[in-house]
Amino acid sequence: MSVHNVVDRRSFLRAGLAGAALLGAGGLLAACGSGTATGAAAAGGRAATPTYVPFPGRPPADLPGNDFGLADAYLRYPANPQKLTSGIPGDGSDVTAMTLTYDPIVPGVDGNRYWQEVNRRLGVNLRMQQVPAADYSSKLATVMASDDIPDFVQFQNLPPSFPDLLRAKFEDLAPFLAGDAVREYPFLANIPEYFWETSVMYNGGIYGIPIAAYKMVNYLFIRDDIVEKRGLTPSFTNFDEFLELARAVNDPRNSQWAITHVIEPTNRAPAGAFGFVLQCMGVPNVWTQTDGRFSSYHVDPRTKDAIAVCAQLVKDGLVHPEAFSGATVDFVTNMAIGRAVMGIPGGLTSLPRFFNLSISPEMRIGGSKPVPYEADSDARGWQRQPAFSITGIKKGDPERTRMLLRVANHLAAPFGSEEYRFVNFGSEGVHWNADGSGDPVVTPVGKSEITGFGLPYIACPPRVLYTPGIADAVRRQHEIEASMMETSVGNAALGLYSETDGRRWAQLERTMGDAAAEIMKGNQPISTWDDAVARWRSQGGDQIARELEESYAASR
Amino acid sequence: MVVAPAARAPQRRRSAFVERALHRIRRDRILLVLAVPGILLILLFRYVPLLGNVIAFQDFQPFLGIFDSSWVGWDNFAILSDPAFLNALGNTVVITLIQVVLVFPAPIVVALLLNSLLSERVKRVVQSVLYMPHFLSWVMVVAITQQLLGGTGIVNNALRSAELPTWDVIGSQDWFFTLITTQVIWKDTGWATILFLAALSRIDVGLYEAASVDGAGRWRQLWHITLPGLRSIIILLLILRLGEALNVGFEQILLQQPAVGIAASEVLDTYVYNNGIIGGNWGAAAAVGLLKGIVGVILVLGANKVAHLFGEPGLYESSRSAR
Repeated sequence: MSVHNVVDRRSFLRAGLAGAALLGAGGLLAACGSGTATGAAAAGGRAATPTYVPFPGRPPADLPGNDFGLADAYLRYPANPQKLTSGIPGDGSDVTAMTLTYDPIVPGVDGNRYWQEVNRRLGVNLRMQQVPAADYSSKLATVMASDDIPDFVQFQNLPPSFPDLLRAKFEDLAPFLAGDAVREYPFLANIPEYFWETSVMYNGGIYGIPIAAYKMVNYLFIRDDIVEKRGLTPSFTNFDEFLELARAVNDPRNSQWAITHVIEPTNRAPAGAFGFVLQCMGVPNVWTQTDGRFSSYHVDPRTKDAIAVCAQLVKDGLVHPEAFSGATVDFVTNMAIGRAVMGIPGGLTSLPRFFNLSISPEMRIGGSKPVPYEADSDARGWQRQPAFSITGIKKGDPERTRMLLRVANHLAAPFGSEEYRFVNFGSEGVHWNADGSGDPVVTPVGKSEITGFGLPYIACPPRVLYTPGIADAVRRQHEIEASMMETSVGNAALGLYSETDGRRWAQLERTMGDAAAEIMKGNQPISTWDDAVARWRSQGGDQIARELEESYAASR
Repeated sequence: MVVAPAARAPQRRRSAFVERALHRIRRDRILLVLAVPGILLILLFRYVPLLGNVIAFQDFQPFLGIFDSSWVGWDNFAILSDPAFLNALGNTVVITLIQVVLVFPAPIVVALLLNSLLSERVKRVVQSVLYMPHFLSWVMVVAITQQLLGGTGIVNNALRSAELPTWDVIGSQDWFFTLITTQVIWKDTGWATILFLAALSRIDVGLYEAASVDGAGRWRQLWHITLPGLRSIIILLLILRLGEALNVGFEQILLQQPAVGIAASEVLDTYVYNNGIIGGNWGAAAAVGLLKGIVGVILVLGANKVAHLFGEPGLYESSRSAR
C-alpha cells in the first residue's frame, strides 16, 4: 500500500534545517485546478533562505488556524487599522507588471480612482497588464520570447526550462533578501521560510517572491440555498449519497446542472469532479513515496476508475454541457448564477468571487470534504503547494531592484493594517463603506476597479480567511477546511528535485489530461488510458520518478 | 539623371546581355523605383524571417536567442515519428482534401448563380449579404456557432425544454470536420466569388449571342463558353490553394480545440503552436514548420509545372511560352 505523506509545516521546517536539498518537483498541483509554482535549486552553493521575522501585533483570530496549515479566519476587519509604513517606496518611475486575473479587466488608470491612489501611495507609475487566466500561459510564453519583460512577472504554471529562463532574464534576489538581509523589508520577512524554500530557490539563488496559497481551499463548493430549496440536505457521508444528491438537484430543463465541470479545460489539471473523485478514492496527491520508491497518481489503478466515474457523470447528463470548453471564471459564474450547484472551480480562492458575481441575495455557499468512494476508501483532501505563484523581478541595476522590493514590501503589509485594507478593498467612501461594525462593505465601484486588478499577485502577506460581508460563508469554509486538514495529504515530491520534471512535466501533464478528457467526453474508450500511461512512462514519467528517488535518497 | 556609361565609353566592349539589361533598366526606371518599397517589404517580412528557420536545428530557447542556443543537428526532426505529429498530419491532410473538394468549388457555383440573376438590384443585395461574414473575425464566428449549437446554445436549450435528446455538435469528434467546413463555406464563399465574378464579366457577351443563335441551350453555353472563360483563374487559384494546402484555419481550429479535444482537432498549425509556443519545444516546432513550408513549395511548383504542360499560364508564363 502506498504511504500517504502527510506534510505539515513542521516537517517542512525540519527538512529545511536538516539541509536537505529543498527543491520542488511538479509544476502542477492537481487539487487546485491550476498549477502552482514549485522551486528547484541547482546543485552547488545555495543562498540562505530569507529569515522569518514574524511581524508583531498580529490581531487575534476569530477562528484560529492550526499547525497543519489551516489559516486563521476573521469574521470582521480588526478595528482601527494602523498605518505600518511611512514614506513612499517608489521613485516616481514607470513600473510594469504582468499578472493573471480570473475576473473582468479593470477600467484604465484615467477612469480608475483605485489605480490613481495606488500610484500615489506607491510613488510609481504602475502599468499593470492583467491577463485572463486561461490565456496566461500563451501570453507568458510570447512575452518571455520578447525582450520586453515587465518589472514584475507572475509565474503560476511554470514555463518550460524555468530555471534557465530565470537565470537569463530575472534578478537573483539573494544579495537583497538572503538570510538577515530580508529584515530591510519587514513585510517580506513576515513570509515563513517554507514558502521561499518550496518556490523560489532556483539556481542556488532566490529568484522571486512567493505568493502564498491557501493550503486547502478548493474543496467541493455547494450552493446550499439551491439544495435546501428543493427540500434536500446539502451534505453527504459517502459517494453514493453524493451521486444521489447530484441526481436530485440536476434539472437541465431549467438550465441547472449538478456539477460545474469534470476537468480543467485549459491545462487539463484534475480539478472539478475528477479531483473530487480522486480524493474520495484516496488516490495520492500527484506523487507518493513508499520505501524510497516514487509513483505518480497516473499509474494508480484507481485513477482509471476515477476517469470512468467522471465519464459516467458526463454521460448521465449531470455535468454542465459546456464543461469542456469553459474557463475557471465560467465555472464560478455558473455556480454564482445557479446554472450549476456543485463544483471545484479552481483558482486561488473562489469564495469571494462567487459573491462578486452573484445577483441573488439568497446565495449561500457551503461545501463538503471528500467522502469515501467505497466503504474502505481512505478519502483524503489534497493539499496545495505552499506557493500559489511566484513573482519574478526583471534584471536591473541594484538601486532599481531595491525600489521594486520596497514596492513589493508595501504590498505585502500584513492583515489588520491600513495598507492591507487599502490594497484589498480600496478607499473608504469610494470603494467601500463601513457597516455598523466598521467592516468594509465593497461598493460596485470597488468591485469593478479592484477585483481584477491583481496587486496581491505581485506580493502578499501570509493568508488569512477573510471576506467582508459574508461572515457565515467564511465560518463554514473554516469549518470544512478544519475537518479535512488533519488527514490531508501533500505531494511527496515537494522539496525534491528532478530536472526532467522541470523540462517536461507541464507538457506530459497536459497530454495525460487530454487523454482523460477524451474518455470523459465519451470520445475514447476507457482502455485508451492504459496506452496513455505507457506513453507517459516512456516519455519522461519513469525518468522523473527515478530522479525523484535519487533526490530523495540524497536528502536522507 | 542617370547617364549611361556606355554612351561615355563607347570603346569598351560589353556583352549583348549587359547592354540589353541596361537598356531595360533605363526604360523601366520609373516602374522599378515604384517597386522598391514592395520589394523591401517582401525581403524584410518574407525572406529575412526565413533565416529564422535555423532554429529547427537548435535546442532553441527564446531567452537565450539564436546565437546562444545549442546546435542539435537533425535531432528535432525525430518529432516526425511522434504519434501526436502523425495524428496532426493525418487530420491536416483530411481537412485539406475536404476543403479542396467542397470549399474550393463553392464560390464558383455561387458566382455562376449570381451571374445568371437578371435583376441587378437583387444581385447586388445577395452579393452584399454573402460578403458580410467575411468581415467577422473567427472569434465572432466561433462565438456565434456556440451560441447557436453549443451545449447551452439556442438549439439545445429548445430541444431540452421540449424533452428531446440534445445534439452535441460542438464537442463531437464525428461532427468536427463538418462543422469547420461549414463555417469556412459560410464565412468566405461570398468573398471568394469576387474574383470569379470579375472573370465572368470579361467573357465576351457576343459569344453567348452567337451560341444562342446557333441553338445552344443554357447548359451548353455554360459548358462551352463560361467554364472555358473561367479556366485560367480557376487553375491559378487552385495552384495558390495548393501552396496553402497544409494551412487549415489555425485560428478557427485553435478556438474550438478545448471543446472537441486534441485527437480530432490537432492540425499541423496548432501542433506547432501547442508544442512550440506553449510547450517550449521551439526547435521541434520549427522543424515541423520548415517541413510544411517545403511541402507547400513543392506542391505549388509541381502544380504550376502541370498547368504549363496543359498549356495554361499558371502562376507565371513559363519562360518557353513567353518567348
